[in-house]
Amino acid sequence: MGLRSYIAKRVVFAAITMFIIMTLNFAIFRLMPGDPISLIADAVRLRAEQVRRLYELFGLDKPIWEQYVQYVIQTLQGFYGYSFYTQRPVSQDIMERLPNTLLLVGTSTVLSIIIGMVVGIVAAAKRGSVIDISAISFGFLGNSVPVFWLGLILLLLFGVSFKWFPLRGTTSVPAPNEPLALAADIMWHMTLPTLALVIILFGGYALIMRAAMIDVLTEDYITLARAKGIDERTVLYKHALRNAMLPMVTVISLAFGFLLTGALLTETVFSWYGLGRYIWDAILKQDYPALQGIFFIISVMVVAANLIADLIYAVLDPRVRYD
Amino acid sequence: MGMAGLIILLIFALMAISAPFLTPYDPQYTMQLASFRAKPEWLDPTLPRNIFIISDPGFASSGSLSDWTIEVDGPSTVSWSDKEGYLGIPLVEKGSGAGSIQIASSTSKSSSVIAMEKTFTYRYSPPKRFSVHIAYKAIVEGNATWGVQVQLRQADRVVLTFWNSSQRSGSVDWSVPRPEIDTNDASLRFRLFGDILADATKVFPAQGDYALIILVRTETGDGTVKVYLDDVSARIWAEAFGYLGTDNYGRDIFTQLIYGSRISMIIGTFSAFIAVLLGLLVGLTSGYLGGWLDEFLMRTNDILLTIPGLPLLIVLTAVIGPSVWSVIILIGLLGWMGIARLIRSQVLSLKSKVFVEASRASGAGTWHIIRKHLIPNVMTMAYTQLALTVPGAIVTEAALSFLGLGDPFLQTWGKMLHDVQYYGAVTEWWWAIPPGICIASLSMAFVLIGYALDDIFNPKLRKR
Amino acid sequence: MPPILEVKDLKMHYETMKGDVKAVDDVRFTLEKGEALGLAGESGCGKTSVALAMLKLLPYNAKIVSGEILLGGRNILALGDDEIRKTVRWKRISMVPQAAMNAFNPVFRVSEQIAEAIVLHEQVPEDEAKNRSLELLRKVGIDPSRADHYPHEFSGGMKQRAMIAMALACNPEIIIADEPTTALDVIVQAQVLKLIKTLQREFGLSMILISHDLSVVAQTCDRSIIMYAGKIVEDASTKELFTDALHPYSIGLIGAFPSLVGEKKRLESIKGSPPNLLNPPLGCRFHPRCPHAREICMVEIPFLIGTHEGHYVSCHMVNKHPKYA
Repeated sequence: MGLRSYIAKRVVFAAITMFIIMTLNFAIFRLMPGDPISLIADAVRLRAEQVRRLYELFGLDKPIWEQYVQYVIQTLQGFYGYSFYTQRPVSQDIMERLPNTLLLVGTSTVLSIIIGMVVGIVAAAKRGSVIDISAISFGFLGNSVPVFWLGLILLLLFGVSFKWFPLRGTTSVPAPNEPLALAADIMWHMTLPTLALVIILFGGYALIMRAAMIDVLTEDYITLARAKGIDERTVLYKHALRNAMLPMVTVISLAFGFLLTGALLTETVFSWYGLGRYIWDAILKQDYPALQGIFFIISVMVVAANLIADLIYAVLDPRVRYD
Repeated sequence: MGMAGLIILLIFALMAISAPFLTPYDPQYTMQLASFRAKPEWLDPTLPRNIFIISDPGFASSGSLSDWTIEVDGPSTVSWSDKEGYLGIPLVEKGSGAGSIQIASSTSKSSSVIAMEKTFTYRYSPPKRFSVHIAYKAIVEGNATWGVQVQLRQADRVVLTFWNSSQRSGSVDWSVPRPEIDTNDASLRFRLFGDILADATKVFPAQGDYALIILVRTETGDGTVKVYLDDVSARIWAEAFGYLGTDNYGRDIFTQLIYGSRISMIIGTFSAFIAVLLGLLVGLTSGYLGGWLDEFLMRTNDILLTIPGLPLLIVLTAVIGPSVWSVIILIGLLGWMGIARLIRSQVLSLKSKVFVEASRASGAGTWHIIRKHLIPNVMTMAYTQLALTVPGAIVTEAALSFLGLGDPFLQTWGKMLHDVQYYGAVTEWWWAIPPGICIASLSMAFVLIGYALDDIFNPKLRKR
Repeated sequence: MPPILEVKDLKMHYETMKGDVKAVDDVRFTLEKGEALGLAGESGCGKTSVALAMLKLLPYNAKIVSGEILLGGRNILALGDDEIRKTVRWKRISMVPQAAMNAFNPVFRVSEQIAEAIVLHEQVPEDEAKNRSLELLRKVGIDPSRADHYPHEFSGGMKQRAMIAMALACNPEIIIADEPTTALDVIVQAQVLKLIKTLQREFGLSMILISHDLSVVAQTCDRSIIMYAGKIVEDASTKELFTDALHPYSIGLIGAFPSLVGEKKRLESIKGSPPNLLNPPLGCRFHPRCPHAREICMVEIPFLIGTHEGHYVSCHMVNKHPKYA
């Protein structure tokens, strides 16, 4: 009853958001002075007839409403236009790179959440200890230190000076064939970027976890759990954590966008073959269709992550289902 | 904690204000102060510094002749002239004005060789670049020829001829274009050393005494010739420059760092200001008026929160075109959502308290009392949020510049990091590390101040 | 028969940034088996601190300066954390805390939380524990069909009763009920009190009931102790306390509560407010508000003296019970 209507509400919200994003995406690129055809035409000096045909081809001769509808339909079908630079469909470019980005983002998220949670819990349980202070410090630093700079430093230190890690790429060239070796190779390449991301991110999670735990630990039911004779560990990880997780889930979902952009920036530093590098190149080459496509895909990911977080929240907190 | 933040902030503010005093260079436009990617001076004392061999290249006074050792072989005279002088090329190059060296050969049927030498001692490791500037003019009357050569005598007595005008007849006004005598010129390197990949290390391979020689040959038939020389300068380019070296265009990195503080603080505070202003407006309206407006505003708020910020910024900046103001406004436009929520909840809780009180007071005074009570309470939160939003703005600007979307005419710290990445200068840690440290420190300062403000204004939250 | 619980000269401080708060000072009393003891006094007089000390549930800045709490002859204050957890908490002493509204963990079902205690202390299989928790809930008047609900689905009174059920889960010897009726409306209050009384008799429990509401104490307790500013001022059987209170504070308190029967009297309230326990008054801590205070009260601390069998007072002005002088 309650759960279903809650889910329905969240899904509708997500759909509306996606729609607005698509509209924004469309509008922004139409706001551009000039249009892509004229850019090409200037560069290549086409005849009027060729220019007209190009307009037809790209559908740019139709009224704006028709263009919009066509855009929406195409986007929903997964077609994002052709990249100016690679001449291939943008969706193809994106699909090649998306798994790498997901790998990096996924690993970093999981690691930083786990580390952040544990650090936050311990920091709350032992106020004033070294862990407490470092949790707070890293929390602050995560907001102030640019992740791409940290990536540069790590690269400098561990890649150039110590030569422990490779300097670029997702895999070595040539990549090993055997799946186990390939996986190890990718992980070796992934270490530094993941390290940069986790260092920046875990502090924020630790702070939230810490604050939430501190709040929860003052609640009466925690004192009562102790009174019941439950050991401190179980009190922390079962009774307190379940309640402290709730604000955590909200924060994780809000921070996903932040994490994703951090990953994109880090990718450029390490030449990780993912969406981040794609953005860097697209900006340099003014490849607008690529930028449009990337923006859309990234938004999809963020909205999806938020939706998943909302659903997890509903599972965790029984109170919310009965609103 | 807040004290530490204030101190750091003060340091940066001082840096920003006294920037012109700390470094004499304009960070954007003063290029080619030294070789590209020069190292910091303290890193390696053996690396060459900028050496300007001639102290008075414009020959502004007659005394400047004394710098040179002049040998005249033949019936010619060398004197200082204040009538002729290289005036430069309009809009391209400044001339040195009146004052030049005059070499006059008036005796007919004679030939002369005039050698002007400037010796100097070179004490560094071999440099990568060496360039010479010279402007000449010749007035020929009748039958006469002239020629100018630029040479360098190395420490081991070998003489390299860098440039030869070859014997010419006929007058020529101040040489336009100027001869390019620069080891950066591949053809020169090939001509001198037979190797395109050589550089000035072959010109000054060892420490010792070197001499710059300007050779003028004249031959008079039944005419006279006067050769004028001006703007004679020779330069050994530094491989070590300044506190932090130079970037890919020869700009001083230390200068960029110092000036970057101005821009970062301006962008950070302005963007945060816009965000807080918007947040205040939306939060106040939403919380106070309630109803469908509240619902609508908060829904918009949530939707905008979900849209990933940096990608949207990237797309917008790529389309609008990067410039300082677009960056400031866009960051501000995308940063008000969290603040609006906070302000709104504050307003809601205040509303229930104050409203009751106010309604007891005279009915007409309700608005005023609410304004008087609401606004000050909300303002404290606004100040705290202002401080806490600045770091995000600074880092976002850095990220945008890093990607190449910042104002191309502004060397912000983020742009410096972009250069590091773009030119593959990861190994140059003096270039890569400082901008990041500055970004982090300045942001930390605001974070510390923000939390200190939070402590001051919300002491009840501490009691746990 | 030896008393089941003895508190001997308990002295406890809270360490704060401004100094030590002398929250509990020389508290001593005994609890007999099957007895219902009331601990009454204004907020902040130290009664909850005494209760928490019995379960060693004091906050981290609390320091037990001296004293003993003997449970069946053993000083529980000397026990290690593990021992307290396994042997004392909930198994021998359990608690119905203040504001039971918040004592249930909102993310676990009610029956789960009761069964948890049973499983923990008696190592029985889960379904047996579940059955027992259903049984307990029925005992307190909650239909077992609601057992699997979450706490926020229970009303205030139901939560209180479920709390009582949970407190009984491991058949403890002593139950501490801390303000069991605050935050309940009067009708529910009466129900809950009746329930407590019935269960106490049925299970033969010894009970300490803490309240600032004297009427609650009067209804349920055999013995009553009045505390003021961290010290015990009077300790007597409830009947005697309410008919023949001796300490000026007790008299004032009882006078401050209207009685439904008897002649109409003017409600007397006690002038002033409780002292700051950072720097409590010298001598008798009540002397600034006492209408009978003399010089000796300002310098010498009165001891708890038995005026006659079973009636103790700490006041310089009272040495012997007037009736038994």
